Amino acid sequence: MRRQPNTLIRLFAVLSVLALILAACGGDDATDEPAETTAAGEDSEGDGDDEMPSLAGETVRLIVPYDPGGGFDTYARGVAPYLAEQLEAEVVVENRPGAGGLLGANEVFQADPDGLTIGIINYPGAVFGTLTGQEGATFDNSQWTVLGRIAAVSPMIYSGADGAFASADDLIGAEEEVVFSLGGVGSDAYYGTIIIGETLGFPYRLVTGYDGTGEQNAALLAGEADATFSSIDSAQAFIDSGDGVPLLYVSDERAEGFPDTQTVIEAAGDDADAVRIMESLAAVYSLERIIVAPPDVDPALAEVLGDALFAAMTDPDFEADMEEAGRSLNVLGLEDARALIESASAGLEDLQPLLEEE
Amino acid sequence: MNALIEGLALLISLEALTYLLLGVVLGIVIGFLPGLGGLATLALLIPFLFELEPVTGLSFILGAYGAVSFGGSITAILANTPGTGEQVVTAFDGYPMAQQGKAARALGVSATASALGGVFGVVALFVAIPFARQLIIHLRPPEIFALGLLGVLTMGVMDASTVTKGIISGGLGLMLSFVGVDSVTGVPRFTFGTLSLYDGLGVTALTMGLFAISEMMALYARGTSIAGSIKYQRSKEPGYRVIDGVRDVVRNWKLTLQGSSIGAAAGVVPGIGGTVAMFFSYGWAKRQAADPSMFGKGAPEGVLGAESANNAKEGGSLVPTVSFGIPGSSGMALMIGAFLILGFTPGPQMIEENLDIVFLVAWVLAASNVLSSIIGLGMAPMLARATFVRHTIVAPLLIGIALVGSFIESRLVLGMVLAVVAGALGYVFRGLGYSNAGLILGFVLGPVVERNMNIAIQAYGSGFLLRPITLVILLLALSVLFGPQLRSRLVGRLQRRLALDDDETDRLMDSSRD
Repeated sequence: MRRQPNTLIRLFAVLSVLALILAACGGDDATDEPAETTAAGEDSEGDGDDEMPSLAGETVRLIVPYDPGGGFDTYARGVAPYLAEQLEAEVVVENRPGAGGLLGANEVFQADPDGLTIGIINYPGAVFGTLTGQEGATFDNSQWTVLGRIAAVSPMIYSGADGAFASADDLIGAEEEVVFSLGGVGSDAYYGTIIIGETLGFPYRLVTGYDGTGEQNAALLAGEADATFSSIDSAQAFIDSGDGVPLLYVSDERAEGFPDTQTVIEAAGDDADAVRIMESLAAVYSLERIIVAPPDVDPALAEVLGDALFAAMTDPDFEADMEEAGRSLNVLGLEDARALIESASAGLEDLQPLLEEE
Repeated sequence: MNALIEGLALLISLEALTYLLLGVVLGIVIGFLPGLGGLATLALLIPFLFELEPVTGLSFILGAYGAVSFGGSITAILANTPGTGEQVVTAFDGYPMAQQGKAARALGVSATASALGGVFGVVALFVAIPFARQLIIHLRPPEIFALGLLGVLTMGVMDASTVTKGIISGGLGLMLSFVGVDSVTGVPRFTFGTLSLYDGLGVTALTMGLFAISEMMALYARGTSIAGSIKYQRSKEPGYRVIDGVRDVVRNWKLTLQGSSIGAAAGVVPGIGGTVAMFFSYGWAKRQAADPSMFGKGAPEGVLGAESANNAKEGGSLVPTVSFGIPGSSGMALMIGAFLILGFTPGPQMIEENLDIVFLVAWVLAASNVLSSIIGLGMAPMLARATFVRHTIVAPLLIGIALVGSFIESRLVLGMVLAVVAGALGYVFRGLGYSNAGLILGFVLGPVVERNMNIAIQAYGSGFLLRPITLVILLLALSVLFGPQLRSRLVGRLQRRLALDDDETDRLMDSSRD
């Protein structure tokens, strides 16, 4: 009875080792194969290999700086299979939450510029992090390799239905501190609120630490806070159910769903400085969700990624998926996204002094 | 009432049931491998939801979700290793039972109790939904902070050999949770400059180390299989079999019901997860027991207490999740994403327009619990055999899996180093009478406690401690901590005053206890 188990175990061990060796060798073979076609439907075959970089057969990591299940995560997991199809590579979504998106952004920024790591980032958050010299942020916003924009959901300031504010005028005319329920210190909502409060001139107090819009809204219901700042997608259901009142929309155009709600630019009235600052803010938010790669990615490789991404984001099936999930798309390709960033960057100087006071 | 029935009707279709079964099987596999499963792996299933119809999609993902925790209970019982971290409480009595050769019975209790708990969760959801708004308005950060603190302290105190050691265990866990970048301010703490500590210490690595590795070290020291001197043949005798476990639950149906109620109630509080729910239920079972001293030494009622709360809490945590999009547990955060993809927006509108879907979710969870329990009951005898295998095979295998799980969590070698260090720490800790369970709970709840305390201070000032519900909870914590001491002091005084001897005092105390 003692003999048999020993032999069996030996056999098992040998087989496992063999299996591991085969798996390792198998992996090598895949990368040795020459790529037959390149990404995004370019039809060079064989002889085009040396000129156009390709990621076929590779594994690309798409970093999401937030928890699974959230908005950024949904866009990422939604587009990943389509991107994988375009690149003929494997696209793996990885969540790297923490510090309000900083940790994930750091990771993408620090990664090798070999095209195997890309990420979806919250551009306003990254901008504010950089402008305030936030401890823990190791990225420089001007150096991302931008690949495209997937969404641009503008934020809304809204209050609870039982609260003291029914319109933007109530908010701006407030004499006592308006208590805001927000996420982390240093999040884009945090700075966005400060900038708007300082510019439009109402007293505010920020209560930070709420984990997600659900909790921010609950604080409004419980009377724990007077108002909050969150993306219009997240605010929609709360406002439509009658529990919330929309006050201000951070964009240069009024929202389709809320035609009676003023934009921050309109609320700035005749004050030219205030108008300019609000316009800069709105511009930053027009780049709300972008896909980036680490700095100094080879331009040809960036183009391959950008083209594949654009094709994936404009795939009708992907659009249908996102619509069903209630996620709006505002797709911009590589060139257009970069142009938008340049124009938004120009206005950043206006925002800096307000942030430095903090 | 209609929505309750409609929700069930949606589930009874060949397609939905097929996807449910598929999800359950996947879930059991995912949850079974300690450290390798859990939410991250569950997230891999999300892309499939884009292709599925809403009802089948829900059946699939919730089927998997409901089955994952069951796999975790299996490893908790067989190897003192909670699969997803919550089942540390199951291991309190589950593992000692395995050590007595009663692994099959423990698995039987676990499967049956959690199945019943899951069904109860549906009832709890039905009852609680109308009160969701009231609950959210009254369970604010101060209350959540107090509950978290209560859980950490009482767990440590109950599990350790003295009150002080219990407090130290919980406190140490809390301190370990501070390592990393603070999510509220973005400032790195205790990271000593290394980027690898920015995410904090890995919970999987810590759990694997404190429980799996330290236990395997102890096993090696003993030099026997998990079941010790008990031979495999013994496990076929009455008192050791799966069916005995099922009978245990049926006989103690009242206790099961109470445990499930506690689980569901705890589930409603956002952020307070499964461990606390299971622990409160365990504590209650111990109080109700005829012989509380058996708890911790292999009492089936201990496993019953823990497991009856396990799945019931999911029904409870659906309340804040679907009513407000506030995840009642970390698993629910993932589920919110799944709901959105399938086209449902959690919130008051979901309650008004899609209440049948809300109940479909609950029914699927319950069905998934029942299904995985049935599969589990079938597999139990085979699984229990593992406790009779030589330590020279079991220990290296489990340590290997534990290390792989610790590595996968963060993809850093630091994970494995942490697991090994935690293993040594855990081994010493348990020998000295400290509580590993208290430590891990402190670690897991640290962020919840700290975050809610921060909000509480900001929103209410330091007076938040005097809010009625908060005050009650904190006083409860104090009574658990100092109650026994106070009591014996008072008893001592009484004794001297009335000039009683010890026997008379005991009789007096016993008669007054009912």
